[in-house]
Amino acid sequence: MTEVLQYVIDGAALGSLYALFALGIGLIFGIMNLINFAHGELVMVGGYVLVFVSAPSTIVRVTLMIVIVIVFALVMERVAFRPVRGARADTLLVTSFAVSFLLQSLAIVLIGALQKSVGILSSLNESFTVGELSIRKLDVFTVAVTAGLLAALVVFLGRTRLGVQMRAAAEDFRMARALGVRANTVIATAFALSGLLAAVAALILVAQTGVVSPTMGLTVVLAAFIATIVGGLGSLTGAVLGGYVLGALTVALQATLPLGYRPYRDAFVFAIVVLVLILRPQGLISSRAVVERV
Amino acid sequence: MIRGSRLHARWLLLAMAALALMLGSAACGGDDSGDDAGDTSQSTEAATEDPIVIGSAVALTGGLSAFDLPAVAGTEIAIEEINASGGILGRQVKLVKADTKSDINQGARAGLEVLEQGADAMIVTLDYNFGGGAAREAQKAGKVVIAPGAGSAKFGVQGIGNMAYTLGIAAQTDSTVAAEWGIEKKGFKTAYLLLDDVTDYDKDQCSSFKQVWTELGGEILGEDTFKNNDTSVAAQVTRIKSLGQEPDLIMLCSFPPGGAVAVKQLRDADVNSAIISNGAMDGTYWFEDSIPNLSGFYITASASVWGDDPSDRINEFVEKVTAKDKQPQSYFTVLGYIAVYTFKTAMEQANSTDGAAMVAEMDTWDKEDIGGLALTFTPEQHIDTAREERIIEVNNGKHRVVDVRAAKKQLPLFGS
Amino acid sequence: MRGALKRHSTPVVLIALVTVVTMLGALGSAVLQTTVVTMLINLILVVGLYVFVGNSGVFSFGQIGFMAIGAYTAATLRIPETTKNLLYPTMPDVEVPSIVATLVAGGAAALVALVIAVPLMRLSGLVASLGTFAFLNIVYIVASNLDEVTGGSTGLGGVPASTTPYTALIWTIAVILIAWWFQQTSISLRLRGSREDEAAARAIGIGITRERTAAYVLSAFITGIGGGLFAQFYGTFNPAAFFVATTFATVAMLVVGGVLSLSGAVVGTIFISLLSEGLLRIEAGWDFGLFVFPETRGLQQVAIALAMLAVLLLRPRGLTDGEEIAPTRIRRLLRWRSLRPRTMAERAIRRLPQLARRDAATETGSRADTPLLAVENLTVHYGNVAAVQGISLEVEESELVGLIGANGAGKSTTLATIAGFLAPASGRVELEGRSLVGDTPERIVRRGVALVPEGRHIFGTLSVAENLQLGTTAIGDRGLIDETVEDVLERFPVLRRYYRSSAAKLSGGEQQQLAIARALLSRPRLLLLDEPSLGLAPLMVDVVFDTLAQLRDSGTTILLVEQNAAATVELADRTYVLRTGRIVTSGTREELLASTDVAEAYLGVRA
Repeated sequence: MTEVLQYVIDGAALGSLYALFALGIGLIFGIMNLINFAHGELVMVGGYVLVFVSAPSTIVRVTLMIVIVIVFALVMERVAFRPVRGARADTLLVTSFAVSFLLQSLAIVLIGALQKSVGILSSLNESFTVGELSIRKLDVFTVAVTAGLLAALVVFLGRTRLGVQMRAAAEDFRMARALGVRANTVIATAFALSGLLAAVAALILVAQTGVVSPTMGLTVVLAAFIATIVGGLGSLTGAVLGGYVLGALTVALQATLPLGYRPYRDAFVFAIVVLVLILRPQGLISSRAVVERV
Repeated sequence: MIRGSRLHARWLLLAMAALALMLGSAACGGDDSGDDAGDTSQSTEAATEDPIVIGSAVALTGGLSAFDLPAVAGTEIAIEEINASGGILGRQVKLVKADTKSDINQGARAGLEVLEQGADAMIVTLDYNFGGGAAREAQKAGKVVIAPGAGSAKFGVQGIGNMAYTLGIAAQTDSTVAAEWGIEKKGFKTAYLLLDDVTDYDKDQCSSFKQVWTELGGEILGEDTFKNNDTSVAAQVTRIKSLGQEPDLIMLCSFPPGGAVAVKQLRDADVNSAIISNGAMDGTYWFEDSIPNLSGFYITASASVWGDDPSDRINEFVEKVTAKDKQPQSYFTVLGYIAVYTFKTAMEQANSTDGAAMVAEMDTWDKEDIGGLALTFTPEQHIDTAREERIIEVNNGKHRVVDVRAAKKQLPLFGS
Repeated sequence: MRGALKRHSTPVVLIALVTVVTMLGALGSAVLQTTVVTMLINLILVVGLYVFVGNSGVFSFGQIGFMAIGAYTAATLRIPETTKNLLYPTMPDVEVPSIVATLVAGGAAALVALVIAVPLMRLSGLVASLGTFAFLNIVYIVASNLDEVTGGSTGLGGVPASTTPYTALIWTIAVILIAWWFQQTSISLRLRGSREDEAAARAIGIGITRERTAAYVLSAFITGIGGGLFAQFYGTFNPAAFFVATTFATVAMLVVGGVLSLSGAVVGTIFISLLSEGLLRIEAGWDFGLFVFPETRGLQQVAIALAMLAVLLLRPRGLTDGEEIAPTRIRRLLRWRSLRPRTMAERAIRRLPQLARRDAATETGSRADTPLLAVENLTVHYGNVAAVQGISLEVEESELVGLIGANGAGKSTTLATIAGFLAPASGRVELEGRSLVGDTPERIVRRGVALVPEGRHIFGTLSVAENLQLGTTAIGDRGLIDETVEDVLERFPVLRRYYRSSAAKLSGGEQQQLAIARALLSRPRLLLLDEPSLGLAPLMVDVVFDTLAQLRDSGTTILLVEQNAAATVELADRTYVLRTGRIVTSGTREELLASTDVAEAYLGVRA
C-alpha cells in the first residue's frame, strides 16, 4: 500500500511537470494554431540563466530568470512567428522547428555541448515522512506551484478583460478581431504567459534533475506535444489533463511492467496514446464541443 | 491573415546558383589537394621534411563534442611535445581536422576529408557507431585508425577491420573490475542494477556485472531500467526504497545527463548506497552545483585526471592541459594524448608510416608502455582487456584514486 | 506528342535538375560523391514524404520509421553469411542481389504501412500526425531493443556498400516518376480535393480513408527504398539514424521547398543540401589569398536554421510557392510579382496616409457632402480569381442600404474588404472621405465600422455576458461601457434572461440577436450585416428583420447583405444588385421593381 501511494506521488509530480509543459504549448496553439516546438528552448534558456546568474538570493535569481524567459518568448513571437501568422499549420510548425534548431545550435556554439550542473532550491531536496510514506519537499512544491499557476490562469482567463479576449480569440480569432480585439496584444500576451509557464517549468525541472543541456528542450516538447493532443488540442483543461495522464501512465508502466519489457515502456505509452485517440479522435476533452471554463 | 512579403524568386535561384558555383570550385579544390597528396607520397623518399599528417575526424560540434573536444586537446598537446622533440622518424607532425557534427551519417565524409588532406593515420570519435563511418574509410585507405575511448570490441578487427584499434575499455572488462573490486576489496554483499537502456555499452555493462557479481557470491537485490532523457527516475527510486534493505552497491550503467539525474534523485531520496559507474561519468561538471557534497560515488577509468594517477607521465600531462586550458573533466583527454604516442611508437617500430607495417608491430604489443599507459593488443583483439583500471572515488565532491586493478576474469567479448 | 511533353514537362525539368547536380558532384572528389549520394537518398525520402503529405495535407512524422524498416530489411538480405555467423548468429542466411533487396525493403515498408493505416488513417489533422509520430517512436524503441533482429542500439554493420551516385540517381529518377504518375491518378485528385477541407470532402461523399491509405502505402514504399539504399550506402547504421533528427531534417527540406508540389520536394532537398555543403566548407576556414576566412565551427547549423527561417518568413508556401515547375511557368516564377496582397513596400506606403489621417482627424466635423461610406472601383482577388470587379457604392448617414445577389456574387467579399479582412487589389474604401484600406480589422472597428459576419460567429464557450463584454472592446471610454450595455440589453431583453449562461445554449435566432447586439456595443457609425437571416426558422427571420427595421428607425446606418432579396428591397432605403462581382443595377424599392429583369431575377415578381 505504501508503495502504491509512493508511486501515486511520483506520478503526480511528473504529471505536474508535464502539465506545465503542455499548457505552454496548448495556450499558443489555441490562439494561433501553432504547435510551438521552440517552447522547449524557452525552458533551456531558463535553465542556462539559472546556471550563469548567481544572485545573492534565490528569489532574485528566479525572478530574473522568469523575466528573461518571458522576454525571449516575446522576441520569438515578434521576430519569427508574427510574419508567418495565419500560414498553413505545417509552415508554422516548421518555423518553430527552425527557431528551436537555431537556439539549440547557438547554445552549443556559445556554451558548449557538455551539460552543466545547477543547484537551485536545494533545501527542497529533503524528504519528510508521513506514516511510512517518504515525501520529497520538491514534489510537494511542484504540485503546489502547478496548482497555484493553474488557479491564477483560470482567474486571469475568466475574470479579466484581456483574459476574456484571449478566450474569444482562441475560439474564433477572426471574429474577435472584428470586435476590435487587438491581434498583436492577444498573441503577445499568450506568448508572455507561455514564457512564464516555461520559466516555472525550467525552475522545477532543473531543481529535480540538477542538469542543463542544450538539447534538454526536446524531452520537454515531446511530452507536451503528446499531452496536448491526448488531452484535446485547443483545450487548456485538456492540456493539463493530458499532462497528468501521461505522467501517471509513465510511472504506472514503469512500476508494473516486468523487467524484460521495461525497455519498451515508451512504446507502450505511445501504443496506449494511439488507442485513446482512435476511441476519442478529438482527445480526452474536445475543445469546440464541450463548454469549458478554463 | 498572412502578412509578409515574398522574396523575389530570382534572388533565391541566384543564391542557389552561387552555392552550386561554390560547390563546383570546392570540388576542383578537393581534386587539387588530392593530387597534392598523391605527389607527396611519390616524393616521400626524396623530401623527408614533409610532415606526417594525423587526421582527426571527430565531433567538433554537437552533442558528442563534449567527449571528442577533450580528446582533441590531448592530441594537440601530444603533437606539440613530439614536434618539440624532433618529430616522428625525423618528420614533423601536422594535425588536420574534420567535423562529423555528431551526426552518425557524416562520419564517413569527415574521414574522407582528412584522407584527402593526406592523413597518414586517423583518430575518430570515441564510439563504435559514431566513429565507425570514418574508421571504415581509413581501413579502406590502409591507414591505422584509433578511437580513443570506444568501449566496444567491435571497434577492431571484427567490426571495422584490422587497421582499427580502440584505447577504450570493453563494457565486460569495466564491469568485471567493478564487481571484483566491490566483492574483494569492499566486502559488499548485495547489489542493485540500474540500467539506462539507451546504449549497448550500458546494457552489456549491467549484464556482465550481474554475471560476475553472482559468480563471486554476491547477491543481486533487483534491477530496473530508465532512459537517458527521462526527467525523473522517481518510480525507479521508489522501487529501490521498497526493497526493505538498502543495497551495498548500485551499479549505474549510464552516462550524463541521464546518469547525473539518476545520481541526484537517488541521493535526494536518501538512498545512501555506494554507486559505481563507468568512465562516461568522470568529471565534476555534472554534479558540482547540483550535488556539491557527493560522496560514495565511484567510477572505473583508464586514467585519473585528478592529479593522483599512478603514472607520473599522465599527471604531468594533466598539469599541461590544466595550464593551457583548464582542469580536464574526463580521462578521454588522456586517451587522445596517448593515441598520438601510439602512432609514434608504431611508426618508429615499423620505421614507416605504412598502415600494414604499423599493424604488424602493434599486434605484438604486450603491456607496451605508451605515454604512461600499458597497452596490449593481439591480431584478433584490438581492445585492451589487460588494462590496469583506476577505481576513482568521489568523496565530498573530490575525486581520488582508491584502487588500481585489472580484470581477473576474462568474459567473452562477443556472443555473450 | 507535343501535348504530352508539355503536360509532363515538370518531371522532365526536375529530373534534368537532379541529374545536373548529381553529375557535378559525381565528377568531384570522394567527399563530394558522399555528399551527392546523401542528397539523393534524402531526395527519395523527401519525395516519399511528399507523396503522403503533399497529396493528403496531413503531416506525417512517422515516415522515417519506414526508412528504418527498409534499412533493416535490406541489411538482413545483403549482409554476407560470414559476417552474419560472426556478429549476427540469429539472422536468416539469405542473400539476394542489391536491386532485389532494395525492392523488398520498399515492399516490407509498404506492407507495414498497409497494416498500421487501418487505425491511423481514421484519424485526421494533427491527431493523425501524433499517431504517425507514435509509430516512429515505437519503431525506434523496438529497433533499439530487439537485439536478435536489429542488433540493438549498436545496430547492424557489414552491409556491402553498393549504392553509388549513379545507382542512387537511377532510383531517384524512378521515384520522381512514380510520384508524378501518382499525382495524375484520380486517387490523388480526390485526395488533393480533400486537402483544404477534409470535412467538406467527406460531406460530398469522398470517403478519403481509402485514398489516404493508398498514398500512405506508396509513400512508405518509396521511403523504404530510401532506407534500403541508405543501408547499402553507409554499410553500418543504428536506430539513432531513424529518429527525430532525420524526421525534422526531411520535414524541413519539404517545407522549405513547398509542401504542395513535387517540385517543392525536389527543390527543397537540393537547396538545403547545397546550402549545408557550402556552409560546411566555409566553416572549415577559407583562404582566398587576399583575405582569410577563419575556421568557425558550428556556423553551419546556425546558418541553416537562419536560412530556413528566412525562406519561411519570406515565402511561407516554400521556394516553389506550392506550384510545379514547368518551362512555361518559369518566366512567371521569375517575374517580380507580388505574390501576397500586401508586400512590404505596399505596407510602408499605406502607413503614410495613416499619419496624414491623424492630422485630418483633428479637424473636427465631417464634410456634409461626403457620404459616410464610399466604395469606389473596388476590385478584390482570391489568388488569381477576381471575386469583386470594380464596384462602387455609397452609404449615407442614417441610411439602410441593401446589397443583394446570388451566391458567389461577391457580397461577403465586399463586406470583408470594408471591414479590413481582405486587401483590395485596387480601388478605394473611405469612411467620411478617409481611407480604410490598409487598416487592420481591429482598428477599423475603433473607427466606427462594425461587422456582423455570416454565420453569426458568437463565442459558444463564453457566456452571453462575456460575448457582450467583448463587443465593448473597441470603446475607449470606460465610462461609456456600462451605459451602452444597458441600452443594448433594453433593446434585446432575451439576452438579459440568459446573461450568465453560455452562448452556445441560445437558439439560432437568439444567437443572431446576440451577434447584432455585440456589434452594436462598439457604438458603430456604420453596421455591416452579412446574411443575418441565413439558416433561421421563418419566424425568426421576421424577428431579425423587425430588429433591423427598429435599428433603421433609430437612425443606425446599416449596410445589409442578404440573399433574401425581396425582404431586403422592402426594408432598405436603397439596394444594390450584384452579379458575378459587378453591380448590375441599384435603386429604391420602386426603381428596382420597375426594372423588369431585376424584378424577375431577384425578387420573383413577374412584370
